[in-house]
Amino acid sequence: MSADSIFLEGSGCECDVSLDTWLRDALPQVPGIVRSVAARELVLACREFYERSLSWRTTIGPVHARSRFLQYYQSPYDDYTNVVAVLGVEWKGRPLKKLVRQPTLDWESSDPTHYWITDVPDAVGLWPKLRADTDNALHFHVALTPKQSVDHLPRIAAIKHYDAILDGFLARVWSHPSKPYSNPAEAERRRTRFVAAIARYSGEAKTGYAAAQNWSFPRFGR
Amino acid sequence: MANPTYQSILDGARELVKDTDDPNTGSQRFPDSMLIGILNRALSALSTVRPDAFYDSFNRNNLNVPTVVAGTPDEDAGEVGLDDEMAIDRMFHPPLIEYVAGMIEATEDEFTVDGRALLLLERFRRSVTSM
Repeated sequence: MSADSIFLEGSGCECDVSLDTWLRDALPQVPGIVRSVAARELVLACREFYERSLSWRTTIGPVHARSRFLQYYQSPYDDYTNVVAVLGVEWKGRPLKKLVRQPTLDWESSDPTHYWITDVPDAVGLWPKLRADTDNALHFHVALTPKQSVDHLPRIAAIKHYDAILDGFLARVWSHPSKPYSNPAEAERRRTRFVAAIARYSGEAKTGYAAAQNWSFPRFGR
Repeated sequence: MANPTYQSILDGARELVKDTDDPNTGSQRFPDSMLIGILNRALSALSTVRPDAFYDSFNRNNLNVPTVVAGTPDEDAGEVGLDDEMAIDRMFHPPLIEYVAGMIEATEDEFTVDGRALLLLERFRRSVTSM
């Protein structure tokens, strides 16, 4: 087996699946649709799938930590992708505990113990605030979603979530009012399948798509 | 594949109403100015039932439905010329021909066949909507 077929992360191939992959299968089912509207609805269906399922995940890091640096914004991840949620933060390889709001105590430490989600879902802050700069100390475990402006979709969409995204696309376009391709009853059925797929792949993503346990023993003490 | 021109819509409508004489002889029954007016109304009618047809020209909260003119178009004013390619999908070409031909039939009070106007305008509506 040749290793030439293995891509490297960051080489640009993470979002190399053309919209035509879906549109070729879908367009025969939506006669009379404007192509650019179809392409837009496909991207929106894909974006909705990943925004709700958090099933496209990656780890960002190592990231330099800066003293008293309040918030770490993760988006955009790259030209095609935004971060839609921060699922976990590690400080020097140790998971930090999550807080649902910014602590009011203005403490400082050389070893933060918690992170908190800011008013936007892709940004986090550390608590206590960092006393001194520390290189390569942070890793962020995040969920991704395609930007609304993309013309290509992530490889995982074609490899793993092809049918789910096709269902989401058809549900959206068939529910358009008074078009030659309108089909509200079938749209509702596809919508149900789409939502079920979101739940299914959300669960699978938590297991790392490897049937692993989706929990870990908590670390006690420091 | 190149899109049809706006002129081809007028030519197609003239075929349907049997008005294909050489325009240079002056024997055409319907002047271009009348057909251009109908074509512009057709585009407006299309924008109300199928706003998505103008999806690509959307800008500044406006669908930017083009105005077809006979002379040199003022692009800044949203005008297009008869020889310009249609800015919308070519699948709307046949319905626009049917609309223009149907409206010509509807305005004709001498040689018209009553049912044809109704038929053509109904075909326009059925071609672009599911109503």
